Amino acid sequence: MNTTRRASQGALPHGSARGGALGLALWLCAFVLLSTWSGEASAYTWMIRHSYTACSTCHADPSGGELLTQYGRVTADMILRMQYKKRGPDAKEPSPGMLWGLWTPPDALLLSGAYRNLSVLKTSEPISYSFIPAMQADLYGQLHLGIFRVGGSIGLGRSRPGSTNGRLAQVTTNDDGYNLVSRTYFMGFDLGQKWLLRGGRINQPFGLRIPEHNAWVREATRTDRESDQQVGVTLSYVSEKLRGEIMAIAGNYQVGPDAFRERGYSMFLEGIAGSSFASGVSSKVTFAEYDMYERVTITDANGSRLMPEQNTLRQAHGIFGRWAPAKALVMMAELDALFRVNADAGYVAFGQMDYEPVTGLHFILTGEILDQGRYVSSTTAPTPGKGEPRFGGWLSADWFFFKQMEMRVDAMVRQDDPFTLLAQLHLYL
Amino acid sequence: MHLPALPTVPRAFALRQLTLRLLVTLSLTAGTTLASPEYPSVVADVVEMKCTPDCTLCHESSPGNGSPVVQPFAFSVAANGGLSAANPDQLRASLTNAMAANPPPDSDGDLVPDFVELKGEQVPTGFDQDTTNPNVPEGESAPSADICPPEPVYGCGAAHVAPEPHVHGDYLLIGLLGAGLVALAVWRRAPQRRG
Repeated sequence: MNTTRRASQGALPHGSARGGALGLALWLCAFVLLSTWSGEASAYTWMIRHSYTACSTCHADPSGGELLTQYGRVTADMILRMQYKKRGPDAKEPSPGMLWGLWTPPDALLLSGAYRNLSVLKTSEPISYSFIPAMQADLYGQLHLGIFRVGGSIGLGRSRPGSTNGRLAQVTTNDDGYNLVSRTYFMGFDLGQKWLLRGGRINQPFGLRIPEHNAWVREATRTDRESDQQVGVTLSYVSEKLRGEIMAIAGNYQVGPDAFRERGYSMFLEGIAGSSFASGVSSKVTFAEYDMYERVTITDANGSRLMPEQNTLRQAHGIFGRWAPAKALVMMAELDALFRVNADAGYVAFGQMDYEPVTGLHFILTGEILDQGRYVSSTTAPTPGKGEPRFGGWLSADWFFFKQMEMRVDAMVRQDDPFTLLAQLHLYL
Repeated sequence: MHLPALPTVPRAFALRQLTLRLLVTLSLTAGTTLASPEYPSVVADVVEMKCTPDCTLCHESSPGNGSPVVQPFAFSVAANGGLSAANPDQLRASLTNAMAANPPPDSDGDLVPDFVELKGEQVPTGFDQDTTNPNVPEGESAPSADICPPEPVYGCGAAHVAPEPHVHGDYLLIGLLGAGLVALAVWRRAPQRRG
């Protein structure tokens, strides 16, 4: 596809349609900016069904996620969303412009944004239904001049105290209200056609880059793209048969004090066989003086009290794979061994089957197992997830019903959690 | 600081305290379904503490749900309006009453009032802590342990929690990367100029 030619086709429409489109764009901008809460972003690993084995074809991030290239925007319009009528051989190619084709930025500039809301139904809780008007409200972009590139995201978010989501990406410090959120910011240099060096706050390269940020494989390895990004330097490589990225992690400088910052490395390497199979390995090692979430009871002369687990060395090493045996079916799996210096060894696994009977409509079956290992000095019996396996399953329907719009419903059954039904509306600019 | 002698307690007062302890213990250990995870935040808010206290301010261990209420501070608060699980309004009222009480509650009997300890107003200089524990008497030369566990702070303001002077690893990293990239750009252009 000729994206350069397509870029020139993204001019503003004329007459009243122009005013209407501008109004729609302004309304959407205002809606996104005024909306709040933190959430997930998108990266669709199952695009391997269309022989897209690498992510950098469609995403600005060489390892996938969020900001789309112009080619990615056109591709999304042609093969990601539902097509309601057959596209003729001489049909006009879609515009790569943002705001539903209203404006096409210069080639060097990529701009976009994302909005998601979320409805949550938990049948066993006293208040069973809750609506989060804006789980994600981000604007993001990248400027690419020659071999130099700079980019990042900015948005609004609101996380409750104690939440593990959103808070790690806060720019401002407002415990109970809205906060400015920045998940990524970076500058980098292209080192030839295949290598990219970046520094800043960047997605950690590890495992399958899936949109389900609360999947146990992402939570247990602390590698989701919702807010687990770290400040560091990454070097990525993308070729036809091999892709990978390694990151030297300097810590999350949007969290303090320094004792809570994790430092180490994270990496993945994926080999691509043919056009429908890819598999790889991941590895991550970090150290923090105080663990962000693990708490242990310390007893001394001053009595017993709760303290963060100290001097925590965390390791995760695993394998993952993607396979499209047929165009309509994609299977993905990830298995990671978990090691923590103060706990028994553990593991986390994820398997997903994505069936797309009609372009744009997905039925997804997901299974999970987690055992993070039990704290070595624990006096309590093993529990599911800590010393014993914990099981989870999702049944999901994902409908890309219109250009840049998606609706998704997830029914989640997780051991020791109430049955949960999630419904979300997602649109990107 | 010194440890005062134990006061003599009238029998009627002791009986009332015993009854109060029994009622508070029963009402606050009604099981995990009546857990009160927001209570530490309520205490921090009403007392205007610099941090959120650990559950062991009132409970035997952390986390507090399911752990019995055994700490003297809990009974000092309960004596000023009662305490029960999953009733933050009652906790707020009791705390407010306790703060206004005269004499002020001193659960560990070390002559430092509980709310002075929770606000950290008497922590000697040189000790890196926000509070002291109102359930543990102050030592001769060292304060009792901080009742607040270290907690992460979120947002860019968090980057400045580290004491001065400190190295800004992020700026150092970005500076090094920028210098490297400039050097690389100069190096790539040099052959073109020569050519």
